[in-house]
Amino acid sequence: MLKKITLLFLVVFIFFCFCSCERYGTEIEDMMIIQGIAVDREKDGYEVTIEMLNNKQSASADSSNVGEEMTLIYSGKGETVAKALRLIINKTGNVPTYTHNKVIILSEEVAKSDITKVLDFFERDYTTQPITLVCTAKDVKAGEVLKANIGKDISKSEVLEKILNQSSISSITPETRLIDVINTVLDETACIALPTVTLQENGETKTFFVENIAVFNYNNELSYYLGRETSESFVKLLGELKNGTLVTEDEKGDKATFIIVDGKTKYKAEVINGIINYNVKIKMYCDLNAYEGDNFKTIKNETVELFRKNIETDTESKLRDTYKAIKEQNSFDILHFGRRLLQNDKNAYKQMKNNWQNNFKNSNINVDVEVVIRRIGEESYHE
Amino acid sequence: MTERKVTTFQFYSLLYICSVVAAFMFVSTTVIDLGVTDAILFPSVFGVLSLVTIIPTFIFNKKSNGESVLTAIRKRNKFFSDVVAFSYIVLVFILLLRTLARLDLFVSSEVFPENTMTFLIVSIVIVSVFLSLLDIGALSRASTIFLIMVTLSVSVVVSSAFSNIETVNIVPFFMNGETEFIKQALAYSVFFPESACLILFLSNIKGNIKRGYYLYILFLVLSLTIVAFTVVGALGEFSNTQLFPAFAISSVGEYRVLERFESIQSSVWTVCIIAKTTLQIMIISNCIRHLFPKIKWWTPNALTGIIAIGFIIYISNGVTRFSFMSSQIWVTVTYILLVVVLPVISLLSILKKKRGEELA
Repeated sequence: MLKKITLLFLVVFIFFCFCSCERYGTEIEDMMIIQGIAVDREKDGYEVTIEMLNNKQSASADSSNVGEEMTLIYSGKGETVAKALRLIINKTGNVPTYTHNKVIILSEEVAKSDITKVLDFFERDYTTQPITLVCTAKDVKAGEVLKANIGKDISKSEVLEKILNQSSISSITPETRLIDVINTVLDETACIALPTVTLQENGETKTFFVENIAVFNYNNELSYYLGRETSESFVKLLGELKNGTLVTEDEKGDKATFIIVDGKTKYKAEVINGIINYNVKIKMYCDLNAYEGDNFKTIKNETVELFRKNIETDTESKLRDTYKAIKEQNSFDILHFGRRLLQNDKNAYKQMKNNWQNNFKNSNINVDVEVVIRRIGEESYHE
Repeated sequence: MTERKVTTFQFYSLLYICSVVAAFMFVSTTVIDLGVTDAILFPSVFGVLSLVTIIPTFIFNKKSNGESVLTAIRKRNKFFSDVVAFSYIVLVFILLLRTLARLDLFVSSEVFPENTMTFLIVSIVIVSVFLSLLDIGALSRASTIFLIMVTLSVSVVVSSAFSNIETVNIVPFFMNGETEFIKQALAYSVFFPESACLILFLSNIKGNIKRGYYLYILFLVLSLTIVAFTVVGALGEFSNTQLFPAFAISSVGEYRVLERFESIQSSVWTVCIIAKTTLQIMIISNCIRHLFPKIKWWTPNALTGIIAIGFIIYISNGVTRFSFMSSQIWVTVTYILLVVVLPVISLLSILKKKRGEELA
C-alpha cells in the first residue's frame, strides 16, 4: 500500500517537473520573440535595434484586422551588445527570446572593428541559434535596415532572411550563418566574407538589396568590398555553387541565358618549389532559359556547342580574375584555400600556415570549368 | 545483488542507454578536442579499449560460475568483499554526482537558461531513488523501451543535420600527430565506464554474456561514430565553443518546416538520465546492503539519494565545482579503478583462493 501511495505521489509530483515551455512561468504574449537584431556603434558602446513579433497581432485569429503592425521595433544603448539588449526589456517589459532570431546585421562602423567582440554574445548565449544569418549594412546604419518601410504587415527580418538565403542559393553571396563566421574565425588561415545589405528607394517605400560582399582582414575587421561580378565568381571558387544564371552570346551577338541547376567543385593543392598550386575543377549543369537568336526555330548543334565553350572560357577567365583580385588586394584568404591545402597536404600546411598571407599571395591557380548543357527547352536539336 | 534475472538484451540496452547519455552530455575540454576530424575515430579506440578491459570480467564470470563479484568474493574472503563493496560505493557515487552535475549544467544552461534548476534535479533524484527500489529487471525492461526512443530521436536529429555537413570541416586524420590522437582518444574513452557494471550483475543476466557484450560495444561504437561524424562535419571547430556539442547539432538540422529538435533531445535525455541515475543508486544501495545486511530495505537507497542531493546542491552553485567533477584526472582515476583495478583484483582474489583450495 505504501508503495502505491508513494508511486501515486511521485506520478503527480513529476507533472510539475517536466514542462514543454522553454521558460517556465512565462506566457507567450510576455515574450520578446526577436526576429532580427541590428548592431550600430555608439560613442561609448553599442546601439542595438531589434525587430520583435507583435504578439498582440500574432495572437489574434484574423491578424490583418486588428490595426496593429506585424512587428515592433525597439532600440537600446549600452556598453556591450548584451547590456544594450537587456536594456530593451525596460522598454518592452517582455523577456527576450533569441531562438527565432533570423538575422544579425552589423553596421559598417561595427564591422570595421573586431566583430568577434560583438558576436561573442551570440555564440555564448544559450538561446541564440548557430544558424542565424549574419550580414553587414552598407551606406546605411544597421538599425535603419530594420526600421525601413518596406511595406505593411511584413517582418523585415524575415524578408532579409529570404533574400540572403535566395542570394546564397543563386550563388551571388556565400551562406554566412553564425556557425560559418565562427568557424572562419577559428580557422588560422581564413578570413570572413559577409554579404552586405543596402536600402534602395522604391517609390514611397524601400527595398533591401544584397549583392556586395564585405571582406574582413585577419583581425576580423572590415577591409573592403567585392562587387557583384566578383562576388559570383568568389562563390564559385569557394565551392558554394548551387544555382545561378549565366549569359553568353552566339556568333551574331544574340544573347542566351542559362540557368545553373547544379554545380560541383573539386580542389587539388600541391606545393612545387615552395609555391602552392591550386587546381580547381568546376562542373556546372546548365539549362537554356532564353535565347534571342533562334526566332523560335530549333537550335543548331553547333550553336549549343558554341554556348558551352563560351561559358567555359568566360567562367574560367572570370574565376582567374577574381582569384587574382582577392590575392592582390591584401591577400585575405576568404576562399578558405588554406583549409584546401590542409586537406591535400597537411605537412605543407603546417609549414606554410604561419606566413599564410604571403604564401597565399604567391600561390597560383589553374581553373578548369566543365559545362554540361542539360536542357535547351526542346526535345532535340539538329545534328 | 538482487537475484532477479534479465536477458542480455535487456541488460545491455540499459548499459547502452547509460553510455549514449554520457556521449550526448559530453563537454569539450582542454584535453579533448571534439571539433577535429580525429574525434570520428575516438569511439573506435574506446571500442578496442572496452574489449581489452572486459577480459578480467569474462574470466571472473567463468571462474565464479556466473556469480556476481560481491557474492563470489564473500564466499572466499568476507573482509576483502567488504573492501570491494566499499570501493564500489565510493566510485559509483562519484559517477552519480558527475551524472547529476552534468544534468544540472545541461538543464540550467540549455533548457531553462538563467534559472537555478536544483528543484528539478532533486525531483529526478527522488524519482530515481524510488525506481531503484524496484529490481534490475524492471529497469532493464524499461530500458528496452528507452532504447527505441533514443534510437528514433538520435536518428531524426542526426539525419536532419546530415545535410549541413560541409567538406571544409573534414581535415586529414592525426593533424597533431598519432601520440596526441591516442592521448585524446584515451581521455575520451574514460568517460564511458559503464561496462564496469557488468561484473556486479553477472548473476542477474541470463543468456550469452560475451556475445551480448560484443554486440553492445559494436552498436555503441557505431552510434558514437555517427554522432561524432555529424558533430565534426556539421559543426566543425564551432563544436568546441559549445557547451554540449552533440546537443548543438539538434539546433542546426531541420526537415523543411520541422526544425529545432532540441526539445526532443532534451526530453529523451532526461528520461535516459533517470535510467542511469537509477542504476547507479541501485549499485550503491546493493553494496551498502552487502556491508550492512540487516539494514532496512529502503534505507540505503534513501540515504544515497539524500547525500547525492546534498552534494548536488553544493556543486550547483559554482562553475569551478562542475569543472572539478569533470576534470580529466578525476574521470581517469575513477575509470581505471572501476573498469580495470577492481575487476582484476576481484579475479585475482578468487583465483588465489581456488589455487589454495587445490593445494590443500
